[in-house]
Amino acid sequence: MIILGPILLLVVVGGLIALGVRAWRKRGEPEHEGGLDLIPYLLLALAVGVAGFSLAGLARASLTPDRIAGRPIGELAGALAGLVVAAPIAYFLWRLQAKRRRTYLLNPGWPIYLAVIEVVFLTAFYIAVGEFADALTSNAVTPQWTDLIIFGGIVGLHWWAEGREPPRDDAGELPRLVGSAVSVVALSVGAIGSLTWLLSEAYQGLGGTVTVPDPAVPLALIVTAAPVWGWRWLPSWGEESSVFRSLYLSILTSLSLLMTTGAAVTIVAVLLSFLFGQAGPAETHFDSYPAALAIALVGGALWIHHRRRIGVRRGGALRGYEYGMAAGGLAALIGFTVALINLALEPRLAGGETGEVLILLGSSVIAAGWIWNWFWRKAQAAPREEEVRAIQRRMYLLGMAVITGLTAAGALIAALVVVFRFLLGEGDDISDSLRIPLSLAVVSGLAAWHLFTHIRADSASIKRVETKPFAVTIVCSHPGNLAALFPRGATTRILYRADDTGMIDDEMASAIVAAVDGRSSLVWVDEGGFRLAAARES
Amino acid sequence: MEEDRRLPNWVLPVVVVLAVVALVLIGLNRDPEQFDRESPEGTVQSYIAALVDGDFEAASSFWADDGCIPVSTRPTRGAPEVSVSLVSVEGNGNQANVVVRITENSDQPLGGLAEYQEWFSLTRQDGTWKVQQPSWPYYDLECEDNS
Repeated sequence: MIILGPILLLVVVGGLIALGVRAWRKRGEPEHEGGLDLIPYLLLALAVGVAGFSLAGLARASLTPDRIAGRPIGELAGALAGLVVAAPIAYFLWRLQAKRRRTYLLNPGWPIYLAVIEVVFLTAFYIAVGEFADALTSNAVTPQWTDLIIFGGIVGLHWWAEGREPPRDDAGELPRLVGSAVSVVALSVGAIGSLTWLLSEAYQGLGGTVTVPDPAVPLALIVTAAPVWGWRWLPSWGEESSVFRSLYLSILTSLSLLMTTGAAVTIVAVLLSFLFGQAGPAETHFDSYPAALAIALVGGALWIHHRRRIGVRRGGALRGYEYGMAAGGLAALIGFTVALINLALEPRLAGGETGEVLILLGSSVIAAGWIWNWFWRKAQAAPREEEVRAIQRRMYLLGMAVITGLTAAGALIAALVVVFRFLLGEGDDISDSLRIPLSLAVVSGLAAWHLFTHIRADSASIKRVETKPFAVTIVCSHPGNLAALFPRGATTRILYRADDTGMIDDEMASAIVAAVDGRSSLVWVDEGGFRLAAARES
Repeated sequence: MEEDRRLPNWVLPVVVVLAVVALVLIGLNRDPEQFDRESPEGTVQSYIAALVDGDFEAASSFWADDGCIPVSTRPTRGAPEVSVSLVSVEGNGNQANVVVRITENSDQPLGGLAEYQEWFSLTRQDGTWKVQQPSWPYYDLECEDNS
């Protein structure tokens, strides 16, 4: 769960950049879109952020009855300064943008603004919920209830504004997605904490020795995050998945499966080390089971739900999920293999009960290798021409090739430093110092070589297709995204029917591209499907 | 019709300004919570109040006899300009831990506020609570030689 936060932040930042680029490209159409409208919205978000946190600070300093000495002059002065500067700016920009929204309906600034507010203040709200629950049930004297009201109020106000003026276009999904992401993280933390508490109680009841965590904060997170997540995520979405929804689904599905697998590997390794006699007393040996089982259960539930939402059609979300899993598996395979090599070859003077760790690392290597192999083979089995052009595949191959290549180069430099120091007369035995950099260089280098081989093969495959131009004439009522699916060498010509019986959906579009197979063709679409005839090459 | 139902534009800013003014007035005029002087939190409250008021002799009367004590009754940086909130109290009849959150004003206009938590360990001596090894706001302690 620790890595979910940064990754979701990256998704938000990536989404903002993508929308910024899109808005910049559309700046030449002010009569339609209002030009680049992001800057006032980002200033508005900044002003609302400063005003919101200043108001929270002011309320905390003035209302929470826990002051025992001194007057809160510093807090009041700081909060007032923030409010005096930010509140008028927020008010002015809010009204200005409200007017502009009535004219320019498709501006991406509004959904981006709502998404930024949601990620900041909904996160602050859940943190306040956790602190409040902790204060209520622990020995803390005064719960900081004002944060709950201020942050909850700001979030509620923006939900109300969003309901009055729902954002449109693909970017319109962004606020709901961000709200779902923040809430699903809070809900998962709550569910894992609560299950860990229950399972720890059960483990203790069975005679085991384990520290039982306090369930107050996790339960409070479940109570608050579950309804928000249900409201933001569960209602129906548009039929066509936007790029943001695909990204959200693929990241969440990948991470939840990685979570489940990691927890399952821990459970198996702990059991194996017990069976092989590498463990301590039974009552303490399995003390990681409550937390591991909780993570496996929550990760599994998340995976089942989101994997179903992706469906079986090989679209952006499914590709993103499979390549995400392949990337996660490959990274874990490299890391665990290097760790296993080093632990296995590490010289020991005495003692060193490493059997349990070796079993855990060995299990992790097998699981990571299996995951990477499984998902990479699935991607390789997909129809070639479409697959090699997929942005998810390119990101996986290029991204992982760069990362593994740089890692291998860095590790090689470190290994050579050791060698040259030895050659220049420093040190006697360098085998110990060489073990980590050399093993990392070899394992990462092999991965980089594998990835670069496939990048080269993909490039050759794309060039081969592009060197054979062909023309396709389609008679239909609506072509859908057909034109976008043909390879770059294709020239498509659409002849529109006068009725609605020849609509092309995504499934039919993929079938037509596969049937055309790079040859000049005539395609006729009607209520019975499509028919295809070869055309003379011009 | 929808336009007619909307509130006038001046309503929201006026409400916000009034709320802010009210909060500031409450914050300025509200006296600190008064805790029982015989309780651990009340002892810490009296101890910190003496430090904030610059009555260092009174503050030193709260120190426990044993363990480390500051080399001087005057704190390293004089009387602290702080506001202090109570975070938690735990313990039994003989030992207690009181956690407070201290907000320290910066001398610089743009220096912001330093906010941190301090732990006070208290022990029962002669029927009253005493602060053991008082560190904040003292930084030079002198310890008993137990050898």
